[in-house]
Amino acid sequence: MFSRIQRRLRYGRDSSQRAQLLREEMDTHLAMKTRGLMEEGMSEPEATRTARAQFGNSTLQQEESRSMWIAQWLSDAIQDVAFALRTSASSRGLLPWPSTSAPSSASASAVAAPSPREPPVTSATFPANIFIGVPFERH
Amino acid sequence: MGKNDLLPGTLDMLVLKTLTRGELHGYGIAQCLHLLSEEVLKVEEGSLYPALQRLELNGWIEGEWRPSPNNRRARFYKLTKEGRKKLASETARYKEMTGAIARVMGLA
Repeated sequence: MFSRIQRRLRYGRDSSQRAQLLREEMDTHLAMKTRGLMEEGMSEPEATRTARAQFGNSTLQQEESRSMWIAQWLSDAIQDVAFALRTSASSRGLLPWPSTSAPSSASASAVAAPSPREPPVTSATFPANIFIGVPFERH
Repeated sequence: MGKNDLLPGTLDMLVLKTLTRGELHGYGIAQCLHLLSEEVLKVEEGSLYPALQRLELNGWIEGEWRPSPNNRRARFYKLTKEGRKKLASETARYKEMTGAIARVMGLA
């Protein structure tokens, strides 16, 4: 949780620098690739063309990288808001079930049996990786 | 092979696996994937960067700017402890998936 907040703050502060560094990283990749192809015997223009073709659309990849951060930022924000609302409602007694998880040991569960009104766990959780693995559409 | 030809999540797993060999920059990872797959996997190299961002964002890899052997500044990535755990779980999931496909295809 703490590292996620740190990451988000850092991204908010350094987003333009991050974009610039990503461009530099991609340029470095292309330069290395071009050099490698030239060492294999290609002329410089041919190597440059081939490197760019194999790399794909760098502008699109930069946008996709950026949207990765934004998507994760939104996902984290939704989780945090949901957690805050739930904790707040629970502490004011507005929710019929406790906000903390039930004791896990056998002795504790023998004393405090789970409430029949307790909602399924899935309703109280929001997957941290909701955006992970979902491919972004190419435009 | 374009990135969309891979099973979803496979590129992330391949990048994590590649980084078990040591710290690598983006171009090194692309080269490694190409060579280790005996030139079968030709991932569109630019598609590595959104994947690297995603992996770093989740804390599975860490990047650091350093001079490369040819004195060019490059970002080197390394696998984190969480990344190793993720790789183990993804590998298990992949085995399960390919096993199921093989059974459907009558290959197992």
